[in-house]
Amino acid sequence: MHVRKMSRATLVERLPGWIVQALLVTAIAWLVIRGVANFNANLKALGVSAGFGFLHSQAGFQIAQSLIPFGPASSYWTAIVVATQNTLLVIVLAGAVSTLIALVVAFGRLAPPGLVRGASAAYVEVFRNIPVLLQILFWYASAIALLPPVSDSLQFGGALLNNRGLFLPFGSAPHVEGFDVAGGIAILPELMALTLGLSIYNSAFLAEIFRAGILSVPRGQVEAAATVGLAGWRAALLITLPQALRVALPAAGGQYQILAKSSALAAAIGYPDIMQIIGGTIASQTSQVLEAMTLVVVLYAAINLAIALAVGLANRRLLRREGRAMRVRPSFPTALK
Amino acid sequence: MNTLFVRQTLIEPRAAPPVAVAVVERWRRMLFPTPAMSVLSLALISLLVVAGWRFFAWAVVEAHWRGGSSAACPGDAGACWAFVIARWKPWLVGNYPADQLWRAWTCFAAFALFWTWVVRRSHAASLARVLLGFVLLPVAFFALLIGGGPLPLVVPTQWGGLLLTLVVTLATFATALPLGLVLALGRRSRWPVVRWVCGAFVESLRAVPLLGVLFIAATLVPLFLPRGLAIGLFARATIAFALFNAAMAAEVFRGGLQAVDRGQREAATTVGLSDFSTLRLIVLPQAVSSVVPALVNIMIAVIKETTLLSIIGVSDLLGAIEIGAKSPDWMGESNVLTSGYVFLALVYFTVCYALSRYSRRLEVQR
Amino acid sequence: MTIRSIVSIAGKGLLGAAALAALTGTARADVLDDVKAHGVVKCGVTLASAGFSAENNAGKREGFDIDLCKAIAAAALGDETKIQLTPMDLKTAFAGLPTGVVDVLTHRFTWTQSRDVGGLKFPKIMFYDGQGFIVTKKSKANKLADLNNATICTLQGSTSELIVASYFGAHKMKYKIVTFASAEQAWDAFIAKRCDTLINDRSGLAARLAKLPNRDDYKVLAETVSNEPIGPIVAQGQTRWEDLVRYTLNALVAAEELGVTQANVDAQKSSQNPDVQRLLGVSGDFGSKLGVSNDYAYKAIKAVGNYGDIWDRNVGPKTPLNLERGRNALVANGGLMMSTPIR
Repeated sequence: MHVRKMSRATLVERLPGWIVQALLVTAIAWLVIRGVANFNANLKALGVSAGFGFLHSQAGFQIAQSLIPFGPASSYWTAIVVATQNTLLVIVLAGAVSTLIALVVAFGRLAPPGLVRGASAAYVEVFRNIPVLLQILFWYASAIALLPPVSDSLQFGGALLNNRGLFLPFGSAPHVEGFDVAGGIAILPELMALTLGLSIYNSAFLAEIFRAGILSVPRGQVEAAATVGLAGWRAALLITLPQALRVALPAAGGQYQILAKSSALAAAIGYPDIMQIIGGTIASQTSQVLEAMTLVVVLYAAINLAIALAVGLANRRLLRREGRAMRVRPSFPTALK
Repeated sequence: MNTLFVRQTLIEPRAAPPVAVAVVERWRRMLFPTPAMSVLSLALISLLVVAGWRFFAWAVVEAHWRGGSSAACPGDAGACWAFVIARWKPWLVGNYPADQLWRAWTCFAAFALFWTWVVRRSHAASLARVLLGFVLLPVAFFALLIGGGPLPLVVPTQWGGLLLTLVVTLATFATALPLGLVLALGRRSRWPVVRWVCGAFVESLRAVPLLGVLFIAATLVPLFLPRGLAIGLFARATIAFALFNAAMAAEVFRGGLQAVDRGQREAATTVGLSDFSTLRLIVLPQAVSSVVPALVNIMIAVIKETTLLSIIGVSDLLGAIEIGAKSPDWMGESNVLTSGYVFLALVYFTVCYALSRYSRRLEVQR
Repeated sequence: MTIRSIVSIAGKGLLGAAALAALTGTARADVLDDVKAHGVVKCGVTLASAGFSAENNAGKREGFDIDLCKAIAAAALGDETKIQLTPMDLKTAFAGLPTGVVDVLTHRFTWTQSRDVGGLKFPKIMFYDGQGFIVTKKSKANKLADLNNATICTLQGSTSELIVASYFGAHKMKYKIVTFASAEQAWDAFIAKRCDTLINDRSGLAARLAKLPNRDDYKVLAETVSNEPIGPIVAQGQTRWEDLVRYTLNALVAAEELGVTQANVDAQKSSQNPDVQRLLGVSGDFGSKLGVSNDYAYKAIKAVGNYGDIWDRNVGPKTPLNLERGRNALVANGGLMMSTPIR
């Protein structure tokens, strides 16, 4: 019995490598050729022509939030730029907010047993075990239900808060004008809800990563700091945190990539990001689904790569400052999402 | 010398001496050790009390429990559990035919039994058996739910709610695990083409949001299929899910394979095992068992990710609640949808929290 | 059971998948043949639109669009229960037709020139609609010109988005837009006052408004900014199937014109009126020439009633939606709905 198994095994091994590889290449090539043929036939049936030529024609729609001037007369290409900027904006905002929350919660989890520690642990458990889409939908429903209408805007300083967004005094002071608020810069409720949902969900994972980082800092470091008169939050900020961040950086980088990818959930609440504008509006209006989805894939892959590169660069700089190679152990991507 | 006292019996055991600090004092130390912590604790306590009471008032005191339409939930002072209760069927099993419901119940019960067996008797349940269960159960469920032969056919467009979430989760797990293992092995193959193909597949799927992959499956894939080969939205979404998570699992397996000490393989070669036998008898058992907690984490991720199906129009648990809130009987009350969301948060939290505890237990056992 | 057997099972699974992918499809002959072969009509419907396609508390879909799907199944297969409903949105619906994911869209899509030329065929209009704006009475907006600077909620990628851009552009009015993946989300956002106004088909506005407890706080502006002829859609090149869908819908309208209802259709079979006889397949071979049973129209009417019956059951005065027939009344009653002569 066992001999038979062995002989079969060696048969597989004795198969020349080039046969397997040639078969694989042929199979993939065949799938691609069949797929392209089907695609062309189906496009013909739908009366669509392929190509990126549409990028320069007039988009004809409006976008709720744009960092550069945009109107119905702008081109699809401009719409893509606007959408990409919106995605980057929410990634940066949510990345910063989630990091801040995560640091607070991480230190809270390491506080002496008591309310603070318990509350921090509960925060992590609750928010990482509820789907992020559900959280975003919940915050959005709450935001537009609880914020007052324009006519009853809340005012703090020069800023206005209502269900059209948070209007910050920037350039000119925001003021109510007819239906709407004019002046200042606006943070839309969609952006608020998306940032809040992404930040809270990802901070629960980041807090665990930072906690592991803080725990990896040898006790002697804090004690040594105490002997030279550095204690409490200053020791935490100046001694523990820098060393902890260095250990946490690779894992945190992975989490930032996850955050960036889940920013695509904007499509569920109408925030005009890459997924919503390119994968939704442009794809349905032009019927250029292949082109639109290719753009979506390429843009997200580029953002993902940029984060990986930035984290790698930061890591290398930290290591160089350290002056010695950090011992790298094979990492287990356990915190996948 | 005269003996004044000789004790004839043992002294009765006494209770432990009382704690030196009073209970009040202990609580004080726990909550208010330093002035700064006291302020923090006070703030937290007041926040918890206020938020807790408001939630309790909303969810229990003012809640509406009975009724078949949004008229049962006037105002938004209290939760609208009537919505969840009246629409139990859509969010539990979707539009599964009423006279065939026993098939859905069987699946739920079989899964509950299987899972109890895995958790309660983790020693009897060997790894191979558990993994086999995860591959065979979905196949059995699928066959039972879809029917055919003596059973009437029930197509997947009639499935929905929790049943659909369960089926997609299990089907994803059943396909993503073997495929992920194959991909991880492929990335270590000595044949460059196999390495490149597997590497490109894993890396490209890991660079794209899951929602993007689902959008592609929903809108683009049909255009690449030949006419007549109509794969339904549900099947396409499930395949997309499986491929995406296979890439995730491949990374986990890769970590596990890397963790197996080189010496193990060298030792195996020395005693004359072939490459294949080394892989099968030495490397894989160690690699797979070391990544089981990480695999449970993938399962948690899959359960949470199934909510994305609602965005492309497959009525999973989240989709069933959202569609319900838009049905003629329930539309127009924002409180209905909020209650649905809170209910879903509780369901997902319970399932995912229990699984994450299980994953942590596995990690400790190792 | 060892790891090896798991690996080998996985290997077999992969082989199976490859074999499946190797299936080279043949060009679809005609959907009608597929439908008969499979014994089921696959309809793409809206996710949730009260009165047209919405789930009741038991999870069953009901509505105008669902009844049309049932009528087609009754006509093609003689059994209105042989339907398979797939909820689809704008993004997924159109790609589903040429590939056969669905046979027909009994949806809420407008017949436009680009869709018609682009491979989607609209056999017959089943609903004449137009887009309108809804506002709160508090906003004091009485006409479109009052909506300058308004924030507008709408469905992304829809004709509404383009209508808004061209109307406001032509009138030099400013606006902000918030687009959503579904019309329902847009409506929820409007009710939560995220927007000042919402643009949608007037029937959709009326349907949703009817369900609001405080519906008197809202009003639909009088201007109709577009024509929206809505009808079922089939793929291009499926002429026999297209004909069947067209003449099933046509029979429902003809039945209302001739006074044939769900209740009296059996009695009408012995009618002496030659028009009724041809409609119900008592005389002539109109059904057989379509490739289905000669009394296909009788079966459709028996299953769901005539056009008016469907209207009354789903959106009429006895329903919460309480839509007026308006443009959708028969020509005899001053509307636009008429049948092609069955001759």
